[in-house]
Amino acid sequence: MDISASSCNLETRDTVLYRPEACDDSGAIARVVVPATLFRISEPPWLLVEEGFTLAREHEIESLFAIGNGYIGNRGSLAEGSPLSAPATFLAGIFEHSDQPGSIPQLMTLPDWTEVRVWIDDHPLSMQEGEIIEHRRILDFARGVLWREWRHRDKNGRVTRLLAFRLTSLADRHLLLQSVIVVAENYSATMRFESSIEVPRSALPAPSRWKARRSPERPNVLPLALKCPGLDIEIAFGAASQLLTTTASVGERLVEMDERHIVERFQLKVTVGTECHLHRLVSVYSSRDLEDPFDAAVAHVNRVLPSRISEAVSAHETAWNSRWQHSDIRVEGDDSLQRALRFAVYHLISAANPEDSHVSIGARALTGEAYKGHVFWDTEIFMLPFYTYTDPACARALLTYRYHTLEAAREKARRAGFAGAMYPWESADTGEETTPRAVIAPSGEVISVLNGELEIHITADIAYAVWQYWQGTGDDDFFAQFGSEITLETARFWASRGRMEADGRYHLRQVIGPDEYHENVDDNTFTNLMAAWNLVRGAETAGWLRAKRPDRWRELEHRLQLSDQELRMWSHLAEVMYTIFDPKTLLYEQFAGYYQKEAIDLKKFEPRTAAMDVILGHERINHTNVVKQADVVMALYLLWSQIPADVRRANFLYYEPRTGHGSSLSPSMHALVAARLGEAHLAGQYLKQAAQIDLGNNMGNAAGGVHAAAIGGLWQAVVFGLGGLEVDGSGLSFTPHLVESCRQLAFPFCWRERQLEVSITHHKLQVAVQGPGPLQLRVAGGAETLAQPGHTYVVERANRGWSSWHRLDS
Amino acid sequence: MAAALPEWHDALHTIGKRQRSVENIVLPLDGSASSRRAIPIGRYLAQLYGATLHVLYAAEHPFSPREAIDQLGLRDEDLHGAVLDQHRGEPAPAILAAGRQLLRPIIIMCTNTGHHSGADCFGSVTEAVLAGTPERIVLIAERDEAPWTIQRILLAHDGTPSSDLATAPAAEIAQRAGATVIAIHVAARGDHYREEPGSLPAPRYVDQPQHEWPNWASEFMNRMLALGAPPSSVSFKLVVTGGQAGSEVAHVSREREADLVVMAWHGRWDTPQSATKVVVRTAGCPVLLIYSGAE
Repeated sequence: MDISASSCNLETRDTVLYRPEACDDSGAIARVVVPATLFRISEPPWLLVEEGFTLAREHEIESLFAIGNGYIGNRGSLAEGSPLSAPATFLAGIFEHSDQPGSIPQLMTLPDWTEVRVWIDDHPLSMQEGEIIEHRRILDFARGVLWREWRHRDKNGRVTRLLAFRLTSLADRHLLLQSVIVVAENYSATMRFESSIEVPRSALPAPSRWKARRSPERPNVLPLALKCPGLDIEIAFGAASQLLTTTASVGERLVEMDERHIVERFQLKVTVGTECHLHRLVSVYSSRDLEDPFDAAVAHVNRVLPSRISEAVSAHETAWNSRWQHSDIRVEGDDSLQRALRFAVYHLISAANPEDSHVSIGARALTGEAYKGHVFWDTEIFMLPFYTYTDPACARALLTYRYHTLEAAREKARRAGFAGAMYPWESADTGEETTPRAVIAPSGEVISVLNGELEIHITADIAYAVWQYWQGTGDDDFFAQFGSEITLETARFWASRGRMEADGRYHLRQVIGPDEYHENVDDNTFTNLMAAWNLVRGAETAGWLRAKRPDRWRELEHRLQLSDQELRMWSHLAEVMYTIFDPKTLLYEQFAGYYQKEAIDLKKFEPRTAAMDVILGHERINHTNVVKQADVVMALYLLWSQIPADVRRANFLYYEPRTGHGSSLSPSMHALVAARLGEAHLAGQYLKQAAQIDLGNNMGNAAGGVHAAAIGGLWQAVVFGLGGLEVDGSGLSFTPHLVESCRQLAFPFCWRERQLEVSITHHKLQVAVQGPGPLQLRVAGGAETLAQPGHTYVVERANRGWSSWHRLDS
Repeated sequence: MAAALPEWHDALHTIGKRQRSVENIVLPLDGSASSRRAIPIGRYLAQLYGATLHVLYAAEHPFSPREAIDQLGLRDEDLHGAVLDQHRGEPAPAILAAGRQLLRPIIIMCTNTGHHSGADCFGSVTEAVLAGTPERIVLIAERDEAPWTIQRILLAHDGTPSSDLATAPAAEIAQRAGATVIAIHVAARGDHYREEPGSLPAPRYVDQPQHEWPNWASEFMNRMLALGAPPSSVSFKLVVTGGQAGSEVAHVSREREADLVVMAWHGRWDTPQSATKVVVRTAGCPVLLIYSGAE
């Protein structure tokens, strides 16, 4: 038995969870169905482990331990359920719609395909009864597998061991696998297994042709299909189970199914030491994917069945290994940060699908129903850089979603009386605005939600992300085909949204900046700076198209009716864009009138676990100077190279103590900017806070799903903050600022098809380069070198800076 | 091959202990007018639960029952259906002993019972009884002897699983009385939530209120109801405010005209600023404390 062979080449020392020794001699089952390689987990730094069972935390655990592949996501619920279990499976892009007034689309919760219940002499195996001897859940980041181990003593003293895993294949995104081993440790009894999939009450079963889809060649593949409420979309499941035991017989199998559910029951006699292995293959397709999802799901399971689950698991692990090779960040000296980064990267990989350019990533990805699956600026500003620099195909798909929803953004602008494209603050499948109009706070107060109309910076954020992707990848085809039109139409929006006023400046009034504590403000610095940036890039885009893609330019010029006069106007408006900047203090006023707000000393409220608007109240917070999240500080980061160093420092030091971090998006951005400014202590504090938003929480933060933007922000804080990495059109620049707890930081980075391996210590920076051509490497704005592919370059700290680069092999 | 994995926890958390119903009401009286304020409460709850009302009177020398009734200033109708329990010696130990020995009791008493040793203290007997951390006690600070009914119950919940121990008792009273329950959570300063697994205080991050609040409220109620396991027919509402926990609960109690506040407590009673003490003093209605064990 080869238990050391690993398809996941990450230098992990594997732990074998299960060895099918009892099966070795009797043969068929163990050798064919349960290869030992299936039952390995990676070493501890690659694991998230939840020991024991705290019922109150169940929703958090389900989110943290969610599995996914960008097409489908599944919460880490207990297979047999509990009073607080909320099992949920989501398909990216499948949103329920309703005709009810005021209703908004929400990510549809699909039937739970993971439900497996076990009965021992008709008594259910349950966490709620008897004694839990041992229980743990393990999420293996390296392999993308969720494990569960459980030893249970029932009220009659019968001890049962259960070992289970599940995965959503990263190699074959429609394929879901589940395996459960149950061992009767000290008893003989009748054991019954029941696996089921049921259409939720809120959904309708699909057309009645479903029965015919049960293949005569593979009668064990059971179909189930349902319709997405409010849309003409059908979702189909194909499922097949196998039960194998260490006894000679597999007992009795019963199938029960109708249009709303499929159930498979296995019943058998077990004796002391009997092992039962239940393996399930499930396939999911929707009519978004292809015309006939029923046939596809059943045929898919039929295709996979003969090769058994081991091949499917192996392919899945290989796919994960490949993704990790291009995205794993290694941190020496800070185990907590290391785990948080692996957690972050794991969930980011799980969230995106490069094969579908009509979907994006919701605020909680596919890990929970909170935020209804809606897409915010979170994706473009907080998550996208991870994909751009580790898996550009994913980034391209995500940005193309914005291209496919461009018409809805144009329509939104038209309805609001503006030109160009005005992207929605929240969007779902169609790209229409899906922000709720009001919310009833638990205080009973009805709060109007103005973000859909006023939080317009998202339009520039999307253009910014398009440009960053283009600069980072050199993907001219994308830019010409998709990105340029976004950039032009968003620039046009900004030229219509503001007003030239008597002071000769262009003002953007009545907006909400990233600091959402202050609504309906004038001339928010972040919004105005980003709008100006967008206007400039719009004009540059026209120039680039003219020069490089004249056919495309002519097509766009004609279709969008662009004129030279309009392009010149964009440049002019960017020049006269009003920002409230004081050259004496070097400060930007966050918006007109910010300095007149009531000053609040946030330190007096520490320690606190509640957001400041909860403590002070929604109405009062608007009259204070408490900033919800990085706003001017966010602009410092995004527009770093165009803001002088002394201005960056002055503004960070001014706004940081006034920021309440009432958004999970805030700590990571403060960590990033603090690190770049050399404020190592602050950077360390914020990095820790950012790392704990999901993982460190014992406060239910993650119950509705993981904070996808926060984990994207954490990745950026480490790469662009601690690593001090800046990207431009010619190459990469580093100004490393490792925090004290971190001895070494290493990460892969993809820039314009070059694959780099970056390693940073407090004394040395090393970059290995692979790829099609040279690139410029700079350090701390000083020494630079033209790095050739196939070589490794090093700089070391000198007395007051860095030495010159040298090639390691020279 | 054996890469180390974390050890098993020593103990798995047991959550959702249900408070048992009430069979005996312990009503300590000392003859003072203030102690008699508790009589309508005791009689009402005895009737509500179908429980036996025990009027407890502790004195150095025993009296005949008639003398005791006179000493306590009771009318015969006050004792209808009740048992008069006389004890020799100090009242607090007798009250606590009754609380231990009777089946499924609730102690109901006035906060002013006994001598006063300071403005921030309750009566000495009340303080001594509280120091003994009875499992359930109703404290009455301000009210007259008018009849009492329950229409609105305020359930103070700080988001910890310990607080869930108060959910079922509140719900049971509500169900019996046909009352509604308003759960109140005060977003207060403090970091103690981190110490109790499964806590759900008001959110630290409200990324988008239009999503965060409905989700948080749903999660809060789901946990509270699942762990407190109340009867399903009871109507719950949730209110969240910010500020000092004790004064906010008391404020909402008065504002919403609550008839009873129910809350879990850890037996900590040592400072005048104690949230529990503030609630008992200023809620404007009786307060039922459910002991949830020491912190």
